[in-house]
Amino acid sequence: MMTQKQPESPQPGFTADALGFSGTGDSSTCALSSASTPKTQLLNRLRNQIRSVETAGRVENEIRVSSGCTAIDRMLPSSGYQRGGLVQWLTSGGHGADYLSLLVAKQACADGGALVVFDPLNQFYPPAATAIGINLDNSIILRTSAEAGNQRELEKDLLWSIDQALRCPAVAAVWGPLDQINERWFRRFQLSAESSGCLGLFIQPVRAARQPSWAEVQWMVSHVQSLPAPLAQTNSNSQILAPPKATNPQADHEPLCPAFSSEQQVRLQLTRCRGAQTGKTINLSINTITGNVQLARRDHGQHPRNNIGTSPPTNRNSWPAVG
Amino acid sequence: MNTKRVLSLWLPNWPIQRLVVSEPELRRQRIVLFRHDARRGQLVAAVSPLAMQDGACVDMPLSEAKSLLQRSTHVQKANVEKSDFYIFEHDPKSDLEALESLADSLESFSPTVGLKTVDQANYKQGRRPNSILLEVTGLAHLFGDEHQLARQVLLHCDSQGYLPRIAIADTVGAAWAMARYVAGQYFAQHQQPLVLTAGDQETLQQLPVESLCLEPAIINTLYQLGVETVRQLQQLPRNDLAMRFGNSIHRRIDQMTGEIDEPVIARRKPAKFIAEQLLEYPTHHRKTIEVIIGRLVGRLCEQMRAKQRGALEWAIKLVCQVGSPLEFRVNLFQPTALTNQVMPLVEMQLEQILLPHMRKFRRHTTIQVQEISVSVTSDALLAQQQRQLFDENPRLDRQSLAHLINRLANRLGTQNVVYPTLQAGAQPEYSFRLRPLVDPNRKQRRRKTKPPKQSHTLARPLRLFCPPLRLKKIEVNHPVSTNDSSRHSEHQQPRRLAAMTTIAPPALFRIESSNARSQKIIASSGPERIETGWWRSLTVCRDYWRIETETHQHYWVFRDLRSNQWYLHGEF
Repeated sequence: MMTQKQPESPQPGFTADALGFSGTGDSSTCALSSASTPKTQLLNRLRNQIRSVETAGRVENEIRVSSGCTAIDRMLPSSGYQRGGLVQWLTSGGHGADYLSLLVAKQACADGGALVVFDPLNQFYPPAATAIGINLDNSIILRTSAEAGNQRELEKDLLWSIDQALRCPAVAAVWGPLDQINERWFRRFQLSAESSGCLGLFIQPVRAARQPSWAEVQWMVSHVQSLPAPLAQTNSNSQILAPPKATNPQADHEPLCPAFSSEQQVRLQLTRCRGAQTGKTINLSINTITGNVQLARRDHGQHPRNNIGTSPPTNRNSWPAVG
Repeated sequence: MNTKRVLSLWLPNWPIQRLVVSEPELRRQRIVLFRHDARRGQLVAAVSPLAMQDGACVDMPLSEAKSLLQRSTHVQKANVEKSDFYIFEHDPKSDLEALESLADSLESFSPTVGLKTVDQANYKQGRRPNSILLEVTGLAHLFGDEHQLARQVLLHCDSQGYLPRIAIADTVGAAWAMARYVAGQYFAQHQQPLVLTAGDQETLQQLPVESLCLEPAIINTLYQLGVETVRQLQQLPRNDLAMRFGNSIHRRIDQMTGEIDEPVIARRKPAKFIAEQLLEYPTHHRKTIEVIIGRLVGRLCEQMRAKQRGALEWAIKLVCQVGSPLEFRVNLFQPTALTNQVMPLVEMQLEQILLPHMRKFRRHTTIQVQEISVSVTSDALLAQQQRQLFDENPRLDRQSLAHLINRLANRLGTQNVVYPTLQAGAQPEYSFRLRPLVDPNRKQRRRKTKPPKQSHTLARPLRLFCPPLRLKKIEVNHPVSTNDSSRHSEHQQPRRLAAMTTIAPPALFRIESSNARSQKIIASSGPERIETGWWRSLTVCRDYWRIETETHQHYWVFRDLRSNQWYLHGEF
């Protein structure tokens, strides 16, 4: 696996919002100036030319959609996702890929476009989407009949529906879990998305990484590798946050489960991206209470300079009782 | 002037009849259907005649019915090979759909076909509509006479596998009562449906008081008073009855005798816009069928545009030379009167409905279509919105979104293209509702969803498993209490309270239904206690936890405080 250098440390003049979770999605302020050597300029120019040829059919070539997190935006070549493309999130489940991808959908729908959620397993939970900020009034959910017999026909219908939704100019984003799909359908999705400017966000199992992909960006979402605490503190590249030690003053005995951190640690690896180097990794922490997404802290006791969220840190370990 | 005549079909033991027709291998088997009661648990909802002979009856606890069937030796005596019995959950929705389908097929006998309405009290007791009513005033001569008409209706039902009781009388009440209480015996004796002559009050007076469709409590009281027939009831002073029972008894008697008119409420309104074409030579060309439908749709669109109306639902019927007609419906998200918007949807549905009848190269069908009928069964005012000249944002093009919804709904089915609305309630399964976007009977516009006020909604996962997956506990954690009052050990507490104690998730778990390896929990947060739902069934009592496994996956699990079982409910 290729290990890339982490993004440079931010300049002192950068604001907190620009580096932490960006609610507005305006990530243009954090574009870092690169060294303007003639070689770099030439490479950039050639890269842009190739991209303009490759994406000639795209109707909205210049419009970017923020990922909802500036740290992720900085890993992308144009500081965000291009409309009219497909984004894959490969995950084994439970790592927050749904959350991160739905944040993108929220940003994409900010211009009034509809969100189409395809839900073949009938598992989508709308109240959680509302909490993220998804406008349910502008959402369409596609489900499958549980009693329908022919699985192959169902799958075909689902793929056809995704294609139709991606083709519609009034749809801003198409989001949902997808199993492995064949290359033809994938290519068809790409062309449909390009023709309408819709953003396709697919959550797929990790085994889909072996298949050919027509996605513009592909992320591998996994957990942060647990390392011994001293090692984690010394390794500046990994930015691992070890789980906090159990601190339950009410428990007389040592519990098997340590106290729960309010932050979920997620490792994001850019495994495919047109116009950018792949293999870059980033460790993020998702606050399970506030929903803030930010760079993972380097260690426990010390807050790095660039780790600034939009809300104060919270130590709540439990939710209020309801009902 | 013709007196009013009503034909009533009563379908005895309808849930069982419907099940046997849909699954013929269940014919002459012992079948028990059960339902869930909020207080009494699983109760018998319907039983087949053979199961009834073994002692099983409606409203009996399912466990009792099961033990009766197991013990019974009746089947062995009757030389039936196997003494198996079948237990299924009652499906009222499918029952109603099948009844509606049968009612629709009877429209060839009468333009006004309706279902017998069931009042609130009966509905709450699990009684669902199981009768069909046909307004047949002045129609008998088309079939010969009323006996012929009733016989043809009977044959029609018999061809579909159903065995109804049929009666014709002057009023809805009388026809239903005769079909329900007399027609069966009459058919056994005379081998023909019952036709009550006009003005025959004598027969009606011999009917039992249940035939008046009164509330069960009133009927029980009448029996306690020794009043068993309609005649006895009519002999009692009206004022005294009204003081004791209210007006319902008089109203029902007057409706039965015809003093008060009781109309047959048609299930489907007659179409306002209808176009038909009878073919001189029946065709089996698929393209020809499409062209004719296109012409008829175009003709109706012109008519609707002239009246500023737009169609929400199209019904297309292909009458075949042999066999039953093929029917399908096309539903639309927004009213439209444009042929080019409707025809792609019609062609999509036509392809699906003709697929089983297509020959090798899909140009010809195996059926000969001799009549094509197109009608608009639901329409609305045509609202046209002028587009802006410089409409730069394609996202705001509602028209293209409506076309997308139409296409999706006609391919996937209207029930599978839905929009969510949030509901009040703590139980996760009931905190939202999905409604179809395309619904020709929808009266209200889509309401705007208010964002939830609860601050902890981020603690909910985006994927919710319905039903929750049962977890197999491999190693039990020490009980960890969250407050001082519950810090006593379990053995010190009464058993009833032990289940309510806050217990942390097990350290190791595995999903019971899958072959996945066991997972170790390294951290957990909670509990969030949810106690609700007593009005639906048994009270839900759950302790929810957010857990993190050794692979740092976050799940939402809960412990059912009643069964003390752990379930996986969501994935973050």
